Amino acid sequence: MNQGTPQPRVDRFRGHRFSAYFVAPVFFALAAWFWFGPELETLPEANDTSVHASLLSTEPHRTILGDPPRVHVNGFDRTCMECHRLFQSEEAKTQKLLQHEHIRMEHGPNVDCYICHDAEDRDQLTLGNGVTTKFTDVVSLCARCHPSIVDDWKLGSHGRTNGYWSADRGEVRKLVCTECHDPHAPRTPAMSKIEPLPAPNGWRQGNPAPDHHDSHGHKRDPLREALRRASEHHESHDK
Amino acid sequence: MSADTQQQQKPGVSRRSFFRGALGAAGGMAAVTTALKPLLEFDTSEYTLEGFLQRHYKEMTPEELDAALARIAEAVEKRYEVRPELRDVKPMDGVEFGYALNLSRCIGCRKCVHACVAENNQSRSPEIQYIRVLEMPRGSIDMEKGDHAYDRPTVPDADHFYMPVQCHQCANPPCVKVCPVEATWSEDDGIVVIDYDWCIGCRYCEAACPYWARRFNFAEPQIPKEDINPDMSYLSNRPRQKGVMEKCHFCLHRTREGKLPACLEVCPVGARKFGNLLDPKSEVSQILRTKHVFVLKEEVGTLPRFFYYFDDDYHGERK
Ligand code: HEC
Ligand code: HEC
Ligand code: HEC
Ligand code: HEC
Repeated sequence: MNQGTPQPRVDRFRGHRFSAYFVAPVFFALAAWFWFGPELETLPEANDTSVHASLLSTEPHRTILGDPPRVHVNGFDRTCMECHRLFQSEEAKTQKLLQHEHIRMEHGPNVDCYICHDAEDRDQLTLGNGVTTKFTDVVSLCARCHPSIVDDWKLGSHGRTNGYWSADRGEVRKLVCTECHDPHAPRTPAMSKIEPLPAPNGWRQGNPAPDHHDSHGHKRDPLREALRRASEHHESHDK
Repeated sequence: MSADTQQQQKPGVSRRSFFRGALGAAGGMAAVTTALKPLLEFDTSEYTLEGFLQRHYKEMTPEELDAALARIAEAVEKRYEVRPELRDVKPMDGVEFGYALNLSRCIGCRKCVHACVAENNQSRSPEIQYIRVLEMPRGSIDMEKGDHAYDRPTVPDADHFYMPVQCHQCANPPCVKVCPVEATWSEDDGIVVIDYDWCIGCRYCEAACPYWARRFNFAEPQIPKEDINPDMSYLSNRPRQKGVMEKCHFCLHRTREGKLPACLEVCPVGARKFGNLLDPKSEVSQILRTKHVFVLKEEVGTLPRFFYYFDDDYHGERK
């Protein structure tokens, strides 16, 4: 390639010095505009997206009975035996009851109350063969028929722990089976079919979701929203 | 190029070079003025001159750190009208945190997402969320096919399963490596933290993270005053400012004091497990020993401290 005659460097600089005279006012104009000019269109503000604190409760789904168990029946707060010592129960009791009508058995084949409740001492649960246990030891009852789940629960995989992750630091509150499952109908609705909390509305939650051509996908696309607002803004200025 | 054409361009300025010079200079000036503009806002926002001049978290003396905490607490109080309990919480000795998530239980209810937002003072508008719950077709684990914007009357959907993703606190974190100013680093308990006052907002870390776990404050974060969580620490949930990165930090202001993370405590199905990996009796350690855990994108070599697993008797369907 032909290099040509090398040109004197002064010439090139002279050119730039010349252009500086034109540029200086532009500088000042631009600077003034940036300092005093209108605020640039900021990105849109979404609505307050906090969800109500009640939806974020860390309380268990159920409150369980203590020892001795006390229930509210007809406005009275009683232990089971305060009533049950007064009468003899039938041999095998299924669901046709004059009392405790709210109980619906939906626990597989377990329809007989005495599979779990002790027929003699109603303040106790039964583990079979005349062995009873307190209501607070409900895990031993469930362990009779769900041993592998109870093993999982013991090692921490099934169920939930609240509070502290180590007993050295504070109370490790390991929820027992009946704090999540109703023993009479263990498939608790609060854990299966529930309404999800709102989807993200953010500008960028990592990668964009795959094509969302439904109404929500579009409504919740904030960049699109920003463009729309910006164009409306300009239109109103044009008028 | 021939000598002829060169000859034509001389002497003086051609239109091209004039415009090039002018544009360059004007652009440069414009850039400088905009860059300086935040200085004007020092009084009105969480940016303060002291904050700007403050040293890196790891280089601050205890006195400087106290001063920084006092300054931040004051700024928070001024803006949100709540006196925060702002402190600096250090890692515990002999503790390395790990997280496990049971995918056969998760129902995709997003309670963890919103509990995290509430706990960690994330911007409500624009919305920032650390946890993304991916809804994925059954039979494959392909993050790229996951959809976090699903919207259904009820969950779970029978044809999908749900996988929450948040920062994996990698032992080999790509985000830390790419940070040009060391504003993000791995602490002794494995938590990857960010000094929000040191971050320059270049977003390299966001691009480097294979799990899309980092979030950028594109705009001034907005949090209603009544929603502020005053339980705050320097490296975790104190309010952030526009232009910085943030992400999950395993709720370090809670977990370093022995408490469980907010996302775990709220989980209605108990899918989330957390604890000390160095303690063989902890829930996570036992799960790691007895379950077939896996990590996401193992092939990229990030060594996450966040594990997923399915129950052995999981048949891929929920009644
Ligand atoms: C207000 C009195 C009262 C209290 C308190 C009470 N029960 Fe009963 N319970 C009854 C009556 C009356 C029946 C019989 C209903 C029937 O035969 O239709 C009954 C029936 C039952 C049965 C069905 C078997 C049977 O005996 O007929 C079970 C099981 C039972 N109760 C358990 C309990 C438990 C457990 C508690 C305590 C947590 C309790 N009850 C507290 C009054 C009471
Ligand atoms: C699978 C075991 C099981 C069977 C079967 C069972 N129960 Fe129970 N029941 C329990 C357990 C466990 C509790 C304690 C629940 C708690 O702590 O919340 C309980 C609590 C109760 C209570 C007191 C709480 C309440 O809801 O009022 C009554 C009454 C009761 N059962 C009645 C019955 C009756 C009547 C039957 C038979 C129709 C029956 N149960 C069958 C396990 C069982
Ligand atoms: C006497 C045996 C027995 C005891 C005791 C027992 N269960 Fe069950 N449970 C069963 C059987 C059998 C099934 C299977 C039902 C099915 O597959 O439809 C079952 C099913 C379940 C299910 C699944 C429900 C569903 O619809 O799939 C849950 C949850 C459960 N039990 C929880 C408990 C809890 C919690 C306890 C302790 C309070 C308990 N069980 C005590 C026998 C028992
Ligand atoms: C944190 C709440 C929680 C606690 C505590 C809990 N479970 Fe569950 N359990 C669940 C959920 C969620 C499911 C899935 C239920 C569903 O699909 O509706 C489940 C399912 C089950 C099933 C059905 C089988 C299966 O694998 O789906 C059994 C049986 C069961 N649990 C027993 C127990 C027993 C026994 C205990 C106590 C040792 C217990 N659970 C404690 C939440 C809990």
